[in-house]
Amino acid sequence: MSSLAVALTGNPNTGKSTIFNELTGARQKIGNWPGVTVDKKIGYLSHQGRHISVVDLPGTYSVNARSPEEKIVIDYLLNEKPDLVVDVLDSSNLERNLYLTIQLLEQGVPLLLDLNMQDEAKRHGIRVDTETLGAALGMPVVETTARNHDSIRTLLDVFTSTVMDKYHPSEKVLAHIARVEELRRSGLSEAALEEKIIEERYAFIDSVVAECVSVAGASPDLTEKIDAVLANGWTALPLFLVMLYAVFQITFEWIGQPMADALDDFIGGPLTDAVTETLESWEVADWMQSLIVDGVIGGVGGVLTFVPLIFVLFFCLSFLDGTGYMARVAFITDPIMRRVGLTGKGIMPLMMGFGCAVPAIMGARALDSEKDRMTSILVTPFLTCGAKLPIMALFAAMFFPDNAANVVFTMYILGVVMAIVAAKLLGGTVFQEQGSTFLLELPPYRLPDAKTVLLETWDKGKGYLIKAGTIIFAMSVLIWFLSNFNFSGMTEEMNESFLAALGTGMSKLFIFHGFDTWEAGAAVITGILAKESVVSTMGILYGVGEISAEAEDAVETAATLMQSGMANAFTTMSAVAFMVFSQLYTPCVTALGTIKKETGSWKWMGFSAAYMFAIAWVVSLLVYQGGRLMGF
Amino acid sequence: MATYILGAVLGVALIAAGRHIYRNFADDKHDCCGTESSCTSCTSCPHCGK
Repeated sequence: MSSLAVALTGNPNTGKSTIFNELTGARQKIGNWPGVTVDKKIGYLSHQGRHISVVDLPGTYSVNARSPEEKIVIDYLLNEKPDLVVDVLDSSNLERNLYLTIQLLEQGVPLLLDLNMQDEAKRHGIRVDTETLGAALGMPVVETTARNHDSIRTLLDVFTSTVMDKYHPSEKVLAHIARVEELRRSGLSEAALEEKIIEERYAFIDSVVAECVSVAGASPDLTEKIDAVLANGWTALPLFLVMLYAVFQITFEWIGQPMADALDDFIGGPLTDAVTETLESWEVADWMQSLIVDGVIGGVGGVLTFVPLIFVLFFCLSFLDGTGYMARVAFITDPIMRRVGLTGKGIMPLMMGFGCAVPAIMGARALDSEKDRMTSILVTPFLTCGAKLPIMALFAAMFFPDNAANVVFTMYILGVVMAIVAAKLLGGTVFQEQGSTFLLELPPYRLPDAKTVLLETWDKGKGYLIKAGTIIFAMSVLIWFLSNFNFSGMTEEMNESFLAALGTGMSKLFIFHGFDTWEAGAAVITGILAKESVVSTMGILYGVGEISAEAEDAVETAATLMQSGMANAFTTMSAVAFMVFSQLYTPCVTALGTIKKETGSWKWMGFSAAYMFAIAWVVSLLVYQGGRLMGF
Repeated sequence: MATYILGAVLGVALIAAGRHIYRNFADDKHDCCGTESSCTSCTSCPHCGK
């Protein structure tokens, strides 16, 4: 019995695993999303007197050998040299699928084309002239619908009896390969060469598709109509910014802030008053009253006040994600990302950084090149994570009550701009390896499932509630202790406390920044442990409880409660400088630990801590001094 | 008396918070990471393979 080794290759989500299961009787996991198969699988069958081994390769868009999947595919095809390679294509999306086909032909891999998903193609009115396609490429072509036994039987008959030696690349393919070789010899830079070759491949694909694909009576679907506006080269970026701006208006003006104000009124007013009265009626010692009211309520309550903002922001982002729009952001931002040596794919982990830097740093694993991964890890902490949001919201509400949303939006944009600038600088100095290209399948637009959006919002937001009850609570008690004790015991004067000594040391670094008070210095130190601690430190040091008692007829918002203390410590310009510094400086210890783990290096962790502190120091100095020079 | 009771309650709460933080550290978990849904794009670590 003669043997035949067959490999199944193709883009992700084209039905290779279904065909593999139909052919071999295996029960390999199947999903209707890309990337289900991440390693090659082998199955066996006998047909027409031949013993056939079938290898199901991971789905891939290209064979640049950059991602693990691409390496598996190219290693197997070039080194194992199977008798037959079946390239499984999604017939309803031939243009995109042929990109892998043409790359394999450039590598000299002989192919049998399987135009799968015929049912899908017919639904979209797509007809492929298989004879013309076969002639254009010089290879056998079969049509299948993976779940249809008859069509799989036909595929089996064809590849069992096909003698690949009879097939040779067409003149058209040979001419394309010659043009690519010519480009490779042209001496273009690596990036320019890659771009030219991609253009050449798509020009070839366009001419093939024009010859053999016809679309009957199909009108652009809803996704295409929406993409014509939202993913259009001219309007995409402005609309993306408008959409982000709307999210910030919803969060910081229309819905989130009123909820935060109501919670602030409750915590700073009735709750604090009730707790104070109860503690007094129980004749609790003054120091314990101070610990509970100033320490725990001032610290934890100060952070809890901003939880509505975090939930509203995450709800908006989860909603946009659910519509399929966030996947487009990778394409919209690709031109900008390319200018800094990355690709649009790098925007995905960066977007996760708006929630928390930790999963964003881990998400960089999905990037193909080491340069992209390292750059993404080192620039992600510049973004405004949920823990920095309370800092921005607090200062914006206090110093810019009429423009809070605009100020916070500006800080978010500053974080993005600094991440881009840092990526450019790192790309030009530390990591000079060439970046990669990427292909991403865009999901169709749809109305998000309410349950999914709410669950995702809860998943992301609940972490802040847990942190408020654990690390922020513990930190608040510690900050209260450090701010009320010194070597002589408990002190009435916070200026003589342990925290004042620590904060004074740190504040020396900010004498040109306008916020060289020990309180600000202490907040910078505690912010390295957890960014929310900046707010809880301010809450404790500027005495929420005391001001609450003093404010007789004031509306007790976070702004008014801390106003007297903070207004003495900050001018408008120094508040902006402090916001800028908080936005950009050293990541929290959890993020630093993740950087150590992901880079496998103490050096990169230390580098991240130091270079971000230095950049934050310089930028906030420039902002403060620049603002003063301009008369602010 | 109330001071001691409140002190004990705060002490227990602090120990619970400390245990939570330590367990997170020991199990390599992060509260702000959300659930697995936040990390669906993660692939294996290039250093340890996990």
